[in-house]
Amino acid sequence: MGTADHRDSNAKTLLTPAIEAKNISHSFGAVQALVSANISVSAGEVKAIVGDNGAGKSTLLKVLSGLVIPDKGEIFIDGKSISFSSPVDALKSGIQTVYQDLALIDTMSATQNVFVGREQLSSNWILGKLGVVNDRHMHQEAIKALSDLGIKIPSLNATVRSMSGGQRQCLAIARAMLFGHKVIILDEPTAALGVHESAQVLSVVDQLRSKGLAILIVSHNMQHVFKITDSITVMRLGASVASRKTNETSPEEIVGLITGAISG
Amino acid sequence: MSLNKSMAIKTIAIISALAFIVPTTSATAAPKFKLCVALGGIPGILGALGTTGDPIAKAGAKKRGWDYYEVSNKLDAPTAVKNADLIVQQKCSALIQFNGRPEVNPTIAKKLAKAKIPVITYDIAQPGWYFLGIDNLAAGKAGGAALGKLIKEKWNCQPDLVLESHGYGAGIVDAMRTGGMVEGLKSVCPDIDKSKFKPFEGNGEIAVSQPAARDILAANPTAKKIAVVGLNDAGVVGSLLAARQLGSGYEAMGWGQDGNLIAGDKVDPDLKGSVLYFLEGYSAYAFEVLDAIAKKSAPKMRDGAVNPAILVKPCPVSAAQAQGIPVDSVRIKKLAQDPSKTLYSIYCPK
Amino acid sequence: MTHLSSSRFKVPSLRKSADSEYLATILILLAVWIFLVVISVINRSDFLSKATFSAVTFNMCIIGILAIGQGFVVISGGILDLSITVSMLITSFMIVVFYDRGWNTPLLIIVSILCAGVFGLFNSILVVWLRINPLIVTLATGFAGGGVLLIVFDRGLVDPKSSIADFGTSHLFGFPTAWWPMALLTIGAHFFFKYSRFGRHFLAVGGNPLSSKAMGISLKQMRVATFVGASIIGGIAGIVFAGFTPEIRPNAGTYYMLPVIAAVVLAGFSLAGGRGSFLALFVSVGFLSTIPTALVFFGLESIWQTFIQGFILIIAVSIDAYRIVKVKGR
Repeated sequence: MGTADHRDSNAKTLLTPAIEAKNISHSFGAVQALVSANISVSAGEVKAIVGDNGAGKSTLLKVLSGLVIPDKGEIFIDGKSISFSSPVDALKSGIQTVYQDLALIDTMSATQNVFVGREQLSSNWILGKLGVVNDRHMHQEAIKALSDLGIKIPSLNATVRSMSGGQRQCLAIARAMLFGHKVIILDEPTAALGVHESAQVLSVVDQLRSKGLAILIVSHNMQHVFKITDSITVMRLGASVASRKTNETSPEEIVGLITGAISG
Repeated sequence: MSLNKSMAIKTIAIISALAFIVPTTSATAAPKFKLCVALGGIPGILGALGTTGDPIAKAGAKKRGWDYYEVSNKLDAPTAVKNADLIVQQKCSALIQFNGRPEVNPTIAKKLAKAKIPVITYDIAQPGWYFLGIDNLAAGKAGGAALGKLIKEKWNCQPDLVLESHGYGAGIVDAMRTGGMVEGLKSVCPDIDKSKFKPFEGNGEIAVSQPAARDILAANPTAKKIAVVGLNDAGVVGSLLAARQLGSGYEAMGWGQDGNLIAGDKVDPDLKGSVLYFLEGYSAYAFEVLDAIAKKSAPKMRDGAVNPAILVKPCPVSAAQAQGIPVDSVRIKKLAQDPSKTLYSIYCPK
Repeated sequence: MTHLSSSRFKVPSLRKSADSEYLATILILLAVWIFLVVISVINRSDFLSKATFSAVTFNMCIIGILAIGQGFVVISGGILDLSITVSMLITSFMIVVFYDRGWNTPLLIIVSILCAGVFGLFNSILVVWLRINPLIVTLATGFAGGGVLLIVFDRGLVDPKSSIADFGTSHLFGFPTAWWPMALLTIGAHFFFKYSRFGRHFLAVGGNPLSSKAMGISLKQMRVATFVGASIIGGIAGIVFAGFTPEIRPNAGTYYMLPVIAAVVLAGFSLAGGRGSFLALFVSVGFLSTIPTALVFFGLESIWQTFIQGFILIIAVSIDAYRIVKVKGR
């Protein structure tokens, strides 16, 4: 894996972040899930969000993808303030989220999954008006997107139920790339995957970075985090407690920050 | 004769027994007889009475100087049970249960028995209640004979098939009506081969009898002249339609029961006639028993459909005759003017 | 960056497209259907006749349309619509009401079907905004709706001289006229779910509602469309029912629920949602509609069909449950 060369792009992080969330607070009933959390990621940057279970990582992702509307705080896209009222708004802003468990629809084919919610219509005027989809074109685009990322999937027409975990994850990421022109959020992309499949997913993430996308990864796997990311934000008890450049820190320091043994 | 005598002796015995108990209360005031009516248990049957009440019972009670009290069960079992409590509270002398809800009748019967209120039930038998209903066997025979005459006339007593649209769930009623129709048919055309009769479950509903009849017709592809009898008009009409659906070449004639589909301007062209029961006029018959109860000489309990207290005479009518008979709301107004008559005596074509 | 070769992936044993699964279902159903026809012919050579063909195709008309409506709900993840026969009866009763008022036939048919659609809207409001399980909602509205019909209408009489009654007994192109709505709806549903964007959204929501929501599909809109759509299809069955049934009774729906659910499950629609073929449903309806006729040829009363359909339903549901367990345990 070529993990050394991407560090050159660190200069880009000095630019306006592709997405920035400031002072996000949210509670579910009595549970304060987020306490003034901050996060930002720039184009061409891969940033990890790490933290213990219940540190607020998932909630923060859901805020960024429009599934949770925060009680307080602001979100900026390219420096412009924006508010999401549904996942559709986030999708429209070029933010794609790949969820750990609910990414794909088991009963549909790979191609159908890639284009779900954004099916391309027939170029024929009448058929297009009737809402008839252009399966052939979508199929070709899916093949192109997957080969772009070096993903091989035996049959795009088979239901994704029959695919391996790695294939499914890669497919979900490819879909995100196809439609997320700005930010891609990955929730535990390598959880429950084997060594080879994880490597495949990480290489796809690398591809996305080289395409200039801003990438946020939530992960528990320190090895993967250090292998792929440019920077790391640590969350604890609903707050973002520290941010580090990956090449300026160590797994020991990050673990210390996560547990609170070291204070940010 | 000896039976009557023993009954008379029993009645005297009961009255004299009562005589020992009654004086303590009757000394204050002789209670006025109070006739109560609980209306409406089965959907679809009580067209006119469902909304207007039972003017025949009311008129009869008025003529006799009785008190009258009426409740509606609103086609609902829990309401029927609540109404039974009201009847007890009202201290009714006798109750007419105008189509009870079979599922709660035992409950109601317990309450009323406890309060010693005698009950006359229409059409739905309940042990301990005087049964008043249509003479189903006579109705079946009359309808069957009427259809038989047509078959003799048009097909020389040689139908290819006789469809019997049963409603086995109705038990003895179906056996008497549908079975009676077969008997009546045979009384006119005795030589129809046994194999031509095709009994099947039609459940007294078009939605059931129609597909069942279609399948039987398909399984008897050479049969083209189809006679239809059944538990009620709906069961017969469903079968007649089945013959029309299977296409040209079929000739079908049916005679129904209950008259539900023979009145008005929407009569099936192959339904040649039906048998009317004049259900809405049943109360004209009930006074026979009620008068006896009022005179404290209650008749012997006859509570079954096969052992009824009072049988109502059925009236077979052809489709053409049915057009001359006014609708039930008109009939009942006419009968209310003179409740000593019956709807049969007023309206049944001679 | 080197591409990882596919040989590094664990090769899954199961690699089927939905279409090939549907084709397998269709072929199995066709085989069973043909088997039934063959043993019926061996039993009695006159089984293959015009009358049998008519009887079977008439048997298909109402069940077929209701099954399409039910399949629509199942495929969209709405579990089942237990009130779909009420939608049918609402339309049938309204046809009688408007006919008696002298309305012209096309208008009264459209308005009557819309009345069923309003009932479906009511269902969907309970499902979507009160978040009640659709099975409970439609069980309740099915009962309540039947009760209201009983109180308001008691019964409805269709004029035997009307074009609707004629529709119920006539033939067109060798089939019962009333068979065609079912056939056209089958083709329509097939193309709608296979090739239209909207149809694909129903499949997506049925397959995985949360994932669909994350991809920007509105679950609320889809649920409303599902139950309104199913009621409208139920309403189309109501036209056929009015054509078949000169005296419409509010309780008549009970006879259709079992065969309709049996047809849908037998056709391989997963009660978990997201999968099912309307072509398979057509074959399933055809097979189930042949059973009662065949029974009579075997000398049994067609009332036995209830028993046999129940038996088939149990088998089909077991297969579906096995399939769900197998997928979850993967």
